[in-house]
Amino acid sequence: MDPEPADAQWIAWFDSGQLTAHLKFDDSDVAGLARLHNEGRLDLLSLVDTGQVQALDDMRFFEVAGVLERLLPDLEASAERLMTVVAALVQRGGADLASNTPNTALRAWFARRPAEARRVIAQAAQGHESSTHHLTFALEALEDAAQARVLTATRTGACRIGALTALSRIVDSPDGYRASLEVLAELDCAAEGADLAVEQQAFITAASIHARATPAVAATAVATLEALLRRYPQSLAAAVVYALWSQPTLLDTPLFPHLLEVAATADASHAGVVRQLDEVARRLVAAGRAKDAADLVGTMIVGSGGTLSGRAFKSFMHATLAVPPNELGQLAINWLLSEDAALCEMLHEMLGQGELEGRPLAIDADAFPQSYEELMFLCGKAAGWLMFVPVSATSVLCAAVRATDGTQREEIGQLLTDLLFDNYHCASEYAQTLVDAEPPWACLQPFLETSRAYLDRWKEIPAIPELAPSDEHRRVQHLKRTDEMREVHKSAHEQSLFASLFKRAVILHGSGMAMMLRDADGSSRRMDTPMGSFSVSKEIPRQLAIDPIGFDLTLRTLRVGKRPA
Amino acid sequence: MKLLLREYVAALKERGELDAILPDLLSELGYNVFSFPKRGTAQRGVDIGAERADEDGIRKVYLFTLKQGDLTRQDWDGSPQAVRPSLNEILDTYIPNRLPPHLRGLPIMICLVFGGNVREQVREQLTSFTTKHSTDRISFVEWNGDYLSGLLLTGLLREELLPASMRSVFQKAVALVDEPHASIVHFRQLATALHEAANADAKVRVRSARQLNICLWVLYVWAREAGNLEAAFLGSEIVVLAIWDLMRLHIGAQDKTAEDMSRVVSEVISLHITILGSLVDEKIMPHVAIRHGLTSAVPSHRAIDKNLALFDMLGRIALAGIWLDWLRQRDIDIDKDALYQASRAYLRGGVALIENNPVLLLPATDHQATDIALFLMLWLTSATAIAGSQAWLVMIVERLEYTLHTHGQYPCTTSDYRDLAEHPRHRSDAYLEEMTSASTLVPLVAAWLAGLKDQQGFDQLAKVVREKLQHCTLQFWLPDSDTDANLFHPRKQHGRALCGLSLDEGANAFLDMVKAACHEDHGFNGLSAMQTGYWPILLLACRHHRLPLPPHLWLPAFRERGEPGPSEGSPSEQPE
Repeated sequence: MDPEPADAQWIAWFDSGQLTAHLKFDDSDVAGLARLHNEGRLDLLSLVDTGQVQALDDMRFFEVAGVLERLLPDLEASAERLMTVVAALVQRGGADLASNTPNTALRAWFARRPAEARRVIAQAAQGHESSTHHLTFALEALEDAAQARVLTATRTGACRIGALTALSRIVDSPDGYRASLEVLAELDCAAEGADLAVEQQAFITAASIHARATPAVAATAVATLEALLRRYPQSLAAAVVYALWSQPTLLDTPLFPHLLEVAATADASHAGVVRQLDEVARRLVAAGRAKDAADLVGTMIVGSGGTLSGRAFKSFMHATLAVPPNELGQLAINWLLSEDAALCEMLHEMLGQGELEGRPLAIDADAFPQSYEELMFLCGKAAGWLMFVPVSATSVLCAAVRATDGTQREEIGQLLTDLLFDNYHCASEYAQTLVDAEPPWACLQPFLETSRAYLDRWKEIPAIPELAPSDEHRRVQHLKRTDEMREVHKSAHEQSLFASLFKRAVILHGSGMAMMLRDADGSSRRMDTPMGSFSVSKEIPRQLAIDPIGFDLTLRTLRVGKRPA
Repeated sequence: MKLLLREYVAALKERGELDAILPDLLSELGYNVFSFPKRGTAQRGVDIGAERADEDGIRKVYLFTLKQGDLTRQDWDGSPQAVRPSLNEILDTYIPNRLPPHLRGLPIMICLVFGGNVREQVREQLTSFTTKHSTDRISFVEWNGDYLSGLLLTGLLREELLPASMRSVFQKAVALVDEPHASIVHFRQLATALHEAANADAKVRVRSARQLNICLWVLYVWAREAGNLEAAFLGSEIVVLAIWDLMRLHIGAQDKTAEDMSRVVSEVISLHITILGSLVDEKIMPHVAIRHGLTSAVPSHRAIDKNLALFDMLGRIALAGIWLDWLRQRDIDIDKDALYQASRAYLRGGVALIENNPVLLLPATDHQATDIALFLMLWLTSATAIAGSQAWLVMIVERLEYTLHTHGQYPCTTSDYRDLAEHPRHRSDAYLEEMTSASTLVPLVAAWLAGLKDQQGFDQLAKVVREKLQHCTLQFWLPDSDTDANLFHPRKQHGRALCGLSLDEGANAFLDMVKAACHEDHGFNGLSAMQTGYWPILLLACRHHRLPLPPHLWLPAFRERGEPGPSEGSPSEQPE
């Protein structure tokens, strides 16, 4: 590590405009810089006033801002100037998750200067813009819930929102919480006009109080939440989602079903809302409430009218795949029987995660519908929707074959043979492993043999060169394939996380790469990296080449088929 | 070149091949052939009889006895059909009793013709025989494969008649039989050159026709050895059409040229039917009953390749059956019952092909309507089975409707493979309109449904057209006065598109309108193939050039009372 610069060096850098180039996050001489600033020998805040910090590239900006945030609570300056600097740093941070950390530093500054905090609160109450913007931090620093309640009850707009936000964060006594809840319950948002922010923040505040309060107070919080929901039924969806996401305790309240209903009406076009819902769903699954999670996600997808797909719920899907196999199987059955295309598509998406041919499902016999018509309906749906994750589809139909007998077994077996065994080698292979493993699966053997006989007959036909496409046609197909692969490669690169993090190097020849690395002591050494190749392959159904129209028609018919009356 | 021809000659079978090319070769060398190969009748050892004035000016009779491949001990004296018994018959029976009167007394040369060579173990016996039986009048000579290929090179295919550039093209065509589409490019070039030379000069017409025949034979035999008949089949279509285009110039003439041309036409048609039959019988028919079998046999993972290959085969099966039906109708000495059974077998095979290969339930491109029409024509020859064609047509309509509504793989107007490979590029109405801008398939299916009195099927198709194909120019193709000159060897566009077709007025009105248009059309009856009764050549031309079949060919079959079956004047024969 470099030796810490002396005061003269800091000042010299500041005077020459090079200070931002030398600020490092792990530098231990923080107190020194703050001292120099407070002595008036340099002005750290001017680095932001003049835009020097904001002009840095992202990585340097966050490092330098981090240094300033460490120093900020110790700096002597007017509250107004501090608030201006903090606002500028937050704005430059943009959508990054670390962009709000300057506010934490401001809060710490207020905590050390209660008088300044009070002055800012008073200014906010009078409508001073900058003070109103930072009211929350001033109230938090003083832990003044009472003042926050007063402002909530008496003010409007940004001041009220600031106060409400502070109330959601300040740790209070049970009586204090009750008082806050009373204020919330009586909150009249009519004066806010079309501004939904107040209603939403009120809800979030009540939810956070619920999370912190004692059980007795928590019950009051639930009542307050309910009242807010009743009073503003149209406008709280996003707030509910946020509350569910930020306050996991809400998942266990009796209010939860109502909250789920409201959450499901949230604007699906808002990416942040969807991400939060995904996390909520994941927690529900982790808490053993996969059905609730599925209901939430399903309702969101259905309600989005096609704008939302299962792909938006990656955390939920990943968590669901980890539930016990029988539970996953039951979930699959529920979704397939729901007749909802979006849910079935999500099921297909989910089962294909990590396993190209699909994840096999474990389904107990009593999980199947009792009536044969429903069972056939389910099998058709499984074949139709899960056709492209064939092992998953096969596992459902194999379980159905095992659960039935007589003509019912024959009919389901026929579906299994025609749609899966005849189309996919992996489906037959999977079923054969079942047969080989346990005697109860022996019922699949006749269907496997029928399929083998069908495919074996093709082997009787010798090569017929007269049927071969011409060289020209083969060339066209080759070019088409090359173009398709190029597009796939390009698309994969665009979606790759690695591609956005690292610099890409393209190697034209050789089976490895060699680079010279420079060490800290100035010496260089060679690093050799051997490279390997990887490939991915996936079976496609034979029918796509043999009878694509018939295949498409079959899948479509199975997918849109209506449940028997 | 000589090696190529020697290999060819060695591979020829005795019956139907060696004896098929030798008469033309002899004629071209100046021999007057007075006895041609026949089947089923006693020839007394002589396969071909000819006479010619030799180099010394003396007229001689040449009696040819043929044997395929090498002469072995078995071939020499191993059976009643062997060479020695044949020679004995010539000496004992033919020469005393069978020679035409005007040739008796002439010196006789008995020619032993082998496709290959004489094996050493037989040489002594052969020499002994010929020495013993040679007289002042009777001599023996051997023509082996090497000699025959030399004759070809100095005869039909000599430098003056087939220049080096054409020989080179011909050699390339033969060498590339494993790559049929490359082979046929060269073969077509050869055929075009020979055709153009013959077209310009009537005197060389017969020779050019014979040359085409020989070249096709060589191509066929090599293709047969290579196990790939595709080039030979396509070549046979080219040769039939080229020779017919020469032949039609002599229709109605009574001279020797017309007679010789007629003979060559018959030989080439016979060869074409042989090649087509070999291809269909050996490669396709054994597998038509296997579910999805032939579809899977197409060596490609792309559905479009399977679709194109199978519709093509369906058209060929149809043509094979139609040729046999045509032969059966002709006044020639032939086993008509066997032809009938074979034709029915093709029909059954084609039906099985459709039943077991669902790619045949909707074509990928409009020009496959020709293959559909061909098979429907064959189907029409069986009154008991014709109802099955209705089911096929209805399935075509259903799939057409489905693919149009889902913007799937509906049949396109284009036949450009690059477009077909990408189809559908977009699932938009604009793209659909572009790709279905015109159709001969829809009116064909509509007319057949109307003719078969399937009102429901017709109405369903009419509904599809109303909902999705209002923009589409429905049409039939009708020949005109330019067609005969351009159908067989196209030089320019010809014919008329019968447009303005509407299905909205009902099946009967539609059919009546088409019938009226055909009735007023004179181009069809003016076609040489129709005038001479060689109407399958018209079908062959349409198949080869991917033209729609003129409705005149099958329309008469739909009688007013709705009973499917041929009526007077129809090319098809009476129903079973």
